[in-house]
Amino acid sequence: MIRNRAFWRKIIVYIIYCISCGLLQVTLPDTLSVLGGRPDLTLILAVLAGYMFGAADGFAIGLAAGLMRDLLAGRTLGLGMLLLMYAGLGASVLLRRFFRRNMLFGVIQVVIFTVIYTVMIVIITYLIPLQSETVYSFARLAEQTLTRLPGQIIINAIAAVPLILLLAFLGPYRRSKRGDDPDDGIVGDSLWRVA
Amino acid sequence: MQKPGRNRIFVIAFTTVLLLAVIVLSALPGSPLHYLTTPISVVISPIEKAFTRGIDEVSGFFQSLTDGQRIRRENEALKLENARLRNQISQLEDAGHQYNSLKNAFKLKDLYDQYDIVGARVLTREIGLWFDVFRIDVGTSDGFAVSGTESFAVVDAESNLIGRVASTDLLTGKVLPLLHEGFSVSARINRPDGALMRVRGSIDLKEEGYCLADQITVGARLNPGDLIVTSGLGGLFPAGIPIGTVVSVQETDTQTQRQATIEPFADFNQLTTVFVMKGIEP
Repeated sequence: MIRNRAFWRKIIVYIIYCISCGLLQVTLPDTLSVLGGRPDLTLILAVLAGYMFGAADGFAIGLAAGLMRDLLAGRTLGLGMLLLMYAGLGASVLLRRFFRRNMLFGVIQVVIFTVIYTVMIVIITYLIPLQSETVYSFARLAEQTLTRLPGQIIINAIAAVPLILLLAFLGPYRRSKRGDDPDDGIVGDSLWRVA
Repeated sequence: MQKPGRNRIFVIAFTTVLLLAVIVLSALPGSPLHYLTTPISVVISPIEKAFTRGIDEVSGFFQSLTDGQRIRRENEALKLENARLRNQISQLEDAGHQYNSLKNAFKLKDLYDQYDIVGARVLTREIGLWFDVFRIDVGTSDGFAVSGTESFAVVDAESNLIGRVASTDLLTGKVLPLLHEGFSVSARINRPDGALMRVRGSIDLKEEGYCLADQITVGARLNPGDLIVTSGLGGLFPAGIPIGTVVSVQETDTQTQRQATIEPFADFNQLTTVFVMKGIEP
């Protein structure tokens, strides 16, 4: 019964976070932008879920947050899901094995994946031009996109802090009821989730 | 017995292939995959509308707070009177905007009487490259089903071109805006002998709020300040919808490669309501 309650808590909390982050991201006014960048909440959520709660959570939340992204603002279905799924999975591996579940490194993860995500978008835009006769040079695309990157990094790092606290204290797992996934190779420290 | 690691790799690889297939299929115009999102749209739409309204009200509250502080600093002695007057002005302005929108919408109806014109609320905004379409609250249930051969023009209350509907599910539609690099429309200079051209979005000009005109008829007279409207060629957009004005003309050695920068009439940062045009069957 307790296990069931924990399971449903996880599902409900993640659904609330995915919907809230997706909707907030597409409705935030420009007044909250820093150097032209507005917080990429779905990306941050996927990265933090992977970093804080492991590969399975990163994978699932990446897909769910990506679906919200595709649904609300995507040209096509699937691209957001694919990118955020890998962001969630990547975040569950990168840094986590070395630095354990440190909040500061959660923010650093968000910064790293903001850069990786931006680079991936530039590559995709270069490889798949929307109008075949209009091909932009890679350098031009990179220049256009990277001018916004500093602002995007700053605002994402800022937005990551409250989201880390929310996931840690009002997250999918009770702090006293969370076990480690032995497959992740990390057991015992239980900073985010206590067995 | 299989190792859990191999299972994980299989799941990730399978999901990746599946998502790649979804991306390719959903990129096709009128793809039925867009209907798969209908159940999610049905659930999310009411939350989305409430969210949008909430955010508008919160933004409005903070905006008025900031304005109030500025006014207090500047007009300490008159602050109560000033606040009262501002409140009145705000209410009157709001009423005025609504009156103008309705008035213009009716004018729009007269102008394009071969088209059904349906008002739609803008639900979301763009969030970056590849996620840069916006959603409106009309879909197939309102008679707007996008297919490989059919789409719908979107204009603002002053009948200026905003974009076209790119995909729809039961309750919502996605609009590809004029500034988007995937958008193009046949256009002409708004003169009796107006030369034809193509107007399209450009990554280079998008940030500045401009779009690009190319494929300009050889020998055409094109000057800054010229008004550009849709030509009606292609059948999707009715002729005569205002697009914008020419800001500059980039002359080249060959007339065939001339380009011009266009400043759209529509204000994409202030869009809350748009109008979707659907041709009436004869």
